[in-house]
Amino acid sequence: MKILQAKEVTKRFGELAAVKDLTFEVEKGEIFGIAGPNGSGKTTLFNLISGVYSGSGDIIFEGENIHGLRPFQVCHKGVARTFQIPILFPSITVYDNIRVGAHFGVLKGKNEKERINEVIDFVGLRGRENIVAEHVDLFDKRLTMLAGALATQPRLLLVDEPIAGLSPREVRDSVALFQKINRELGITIIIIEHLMKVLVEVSHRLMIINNGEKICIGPPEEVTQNKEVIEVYLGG
Amino acid sequence: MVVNKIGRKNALLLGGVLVLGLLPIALQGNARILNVLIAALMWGVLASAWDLCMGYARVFSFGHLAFFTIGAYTAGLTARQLGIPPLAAIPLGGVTAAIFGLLIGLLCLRLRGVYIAMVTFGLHMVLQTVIIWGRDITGGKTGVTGFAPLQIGQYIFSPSYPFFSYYIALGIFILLLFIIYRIINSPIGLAFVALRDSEPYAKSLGVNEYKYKLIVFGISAFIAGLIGAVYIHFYGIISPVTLDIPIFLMVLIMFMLGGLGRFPGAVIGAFVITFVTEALRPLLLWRFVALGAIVVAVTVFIPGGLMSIPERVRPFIRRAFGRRHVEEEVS
Repeated sequence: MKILQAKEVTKRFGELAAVKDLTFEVEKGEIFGIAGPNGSGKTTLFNLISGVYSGSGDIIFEGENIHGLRPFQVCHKGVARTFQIPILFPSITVYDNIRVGAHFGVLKGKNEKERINEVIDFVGLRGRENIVAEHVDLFDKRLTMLAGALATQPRLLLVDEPIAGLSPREVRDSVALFQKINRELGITIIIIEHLMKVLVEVSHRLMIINNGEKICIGPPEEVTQNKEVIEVYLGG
Repeated sequence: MVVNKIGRKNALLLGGVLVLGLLPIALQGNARILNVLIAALMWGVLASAWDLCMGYARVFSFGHLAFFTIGAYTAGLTARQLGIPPLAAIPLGGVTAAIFGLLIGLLCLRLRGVYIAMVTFGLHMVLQTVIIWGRDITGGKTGVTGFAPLQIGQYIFSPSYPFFSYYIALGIFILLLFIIYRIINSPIGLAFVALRDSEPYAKSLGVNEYKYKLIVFGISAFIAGLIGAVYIHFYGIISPVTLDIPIFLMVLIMFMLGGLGRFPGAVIGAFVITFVTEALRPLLLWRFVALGAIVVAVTVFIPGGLMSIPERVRPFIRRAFGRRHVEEEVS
């Protein structure tokens, strides 16, 4: 079953097409990786799905076209996201950061406290939830952002370069956490990442884009053997 | 620890209210000081409402003195022309200001920062012109007097009855500040802070930015208008003087000095500034130079305002008293 279908999605900034005629499908329950060089349109694609931008083409989530909805509406449909740069609400506690997602991200949400505490335990932020967010380290900032997104109870989670700047140990923990979110919570994940090694490890399927266009799509081991992909990545 | 902290803050607030309640007795009914205190209470409400918009939601409104004046004129004119009693005229002032707040909010929906400042200040300037040129209705530059005062028995809410008036003003002050306090600590306040800290992140977590921009304009304009109506009932005159730039700056300085978005900083700022301007009265217009100097000094030396002083001082205390405080902080 398809959870997300993108059909000929295009976004232009003036003359430049950041995303060009992109068509792909994401299966329910999978971890779908997206890779591509800098400026290839990965984050633009996330911004299109999550309602930050709107362009042309259809973005069908669970059978409904969500293209053109505003970000908060996309969130209410069941699509959550994280950002490349860990932007949080720096002036309030980690707990309150997550509370924003738990309160505003869920329509008719009950047992708010319970849900917040569940997510705190799930991502492993217990003990740091009362620290003001600007004082936690990069990894905890990323975890907080992820926890806030999970608190909105999404069925699809978009994760934008979640491991940049982390230590090898934190990278391993992150990978394990994404797999846990996928398996235990049954949440479909689309993940953008630079580090091919991590992406190959975590994704069930992989899509490579360059200059806003799809180069290839398939199981990781297949994609990494693709000639065009090797060219794009090694600049050969 | 957290519960402890909230408890401590509430205790401080209650203590503050208690002090305000006992002040007239301590001052033995000193009329002059009581009247200054009444002014401080009213400015404190306006500054707090403005700070809700400017400090918590970071919506750069320069229109709150206009909302204050709209509330004042609505209450005064309806009371005078239609004979509406003060107890109805005052809320009517608030509601009218809130309607203007919502309209301005609608205009500002897609705007941010300095553009909102320009739209809202536009309202301020238009209002001033309308009042001065709409002489037949508004009384022009000289203003309007002769509307029914707020009165209980023989006591009139006016500078002539400072003791009585102080407690009326304090009652209104506590009610309106309690509303502001509850909003700040409710999910609405959380949405304001979330949108202020990071709009893209807040929106991605389901916060509807348009809705909360309208809410902050509506609520803060309502409170500003309400206290404007109370203000003119106290002085028995409405005039466009409240829109003068020195007053505009004075209120702005109040919450800047207290600390932007740091309840109840705006109230503390209002008390300090009201008393400083009163003490500097002999300097006439030159006192605004002194106020200007205060703004510069605060912005440069204590950007977080008076409310940020405890957290600035805390590291020094910690160093002086050693580990005990550090542990207390962590546990």
